[in-house]
Amino acid sequence: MRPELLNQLAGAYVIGTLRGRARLRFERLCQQSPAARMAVQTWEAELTRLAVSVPAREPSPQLWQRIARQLGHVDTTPARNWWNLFMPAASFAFGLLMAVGLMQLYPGLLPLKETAPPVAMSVSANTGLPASYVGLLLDAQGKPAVLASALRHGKTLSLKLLQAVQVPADKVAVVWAFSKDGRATRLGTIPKEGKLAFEMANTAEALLSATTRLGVSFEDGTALPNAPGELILSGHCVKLW
Amino acid sequence: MLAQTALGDRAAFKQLYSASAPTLFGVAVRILGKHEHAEDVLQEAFVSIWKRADSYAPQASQPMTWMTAIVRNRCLDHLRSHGRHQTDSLDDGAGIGADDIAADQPSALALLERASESLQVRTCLETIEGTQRQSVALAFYQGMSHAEVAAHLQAPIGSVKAWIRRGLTRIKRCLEAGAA
Repeated sequence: MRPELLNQLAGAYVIGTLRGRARLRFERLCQQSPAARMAVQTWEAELTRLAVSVPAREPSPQLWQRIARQLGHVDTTPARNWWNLFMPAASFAFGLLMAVGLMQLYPGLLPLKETAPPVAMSVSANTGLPASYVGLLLDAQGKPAVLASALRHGKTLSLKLLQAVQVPADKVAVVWAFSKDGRATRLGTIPKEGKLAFEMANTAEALLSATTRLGVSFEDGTALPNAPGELILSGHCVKLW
Repeated sequence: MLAQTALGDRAAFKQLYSASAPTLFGVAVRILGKHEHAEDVLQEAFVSIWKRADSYAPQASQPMTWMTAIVRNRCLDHLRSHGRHQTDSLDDGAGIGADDIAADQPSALALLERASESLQVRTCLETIEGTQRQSVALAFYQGMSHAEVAAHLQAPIGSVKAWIRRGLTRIKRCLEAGAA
């Protein structure tokens, strides 16, 4: 088959306008032809990115149960409940976080005050687009503590507290990014009050594309180190888009 | 998470589901128009993701792109098998999917424009003819066939086929250039 025709068919297949018997024939061709499969993969890699603008919606809680049952998996409802605590109903990448108790990040004379509405997972209020990078930081007991997110080309790292985090009065909470080989990059300091977000030195794509984990340590605010001390919170960081 | 899922890690699969289900469900609802159908498709898709996780090639695409393609294909299969139900509107925007979709949903063209902003290809996309952009947007975001797009735009089906063919090629070039 001519490459131009194969490319055209692959594009029509991916977008969905190749229908009926022609679609079935092309699917059979893809099973037999590496070139056809490659053409489809190339189209999917580009075209599917357009789905980034589709608003996220929360499926019913029973859907996971049905999937688990169909696969014969053990129901892990308790873990799902933790995810439910921060799954938004109307936001984009994960849904809205449900506030879990009082968010008191800094104790004593510096109670946390969110003077702005909670930051939605979709950082951009104007576009409401889903976050590309998402990290879930757990405490020492393995319980979710902080949810971090950023748009691919944005510089803002947004944070959502899932449980109270007590920071010593003379310290600041610093967020770190870790690459696969363990190199640490200091991303920024969690604000003491107001919107739980900070500006990074570069875009999320530049800073987080090679990141596999995020961490939070308590450091001396007067002289931030280039390497973290003991990590109080840590967890995986993934790129969804 | 996808790599761990491929190794049979059920906890990782559940995390993958929790992290991605709302986005993927949104894609399915947009195409099929009804939550119930979209959930059926999403269930099939995640079963497929579990079984095929080891076939995911990181060098070919991002995990979400791979999973979105699975969901879209399942949606298109659903449309092929069940047809677009009579109660489902093909209105571009407010009337999508009748009961389950809010009236203030953005149009397909608006979704394309928002995507172009996010993917930083807006300038390039704006050089593409409006009919081509709208045709591609209707096909991509709402799973419309050539005939459905033609009916919606009240245009000859031959013209729609040409618009989509040319629009797809140009949009792909914009996306490839934007990703470079």
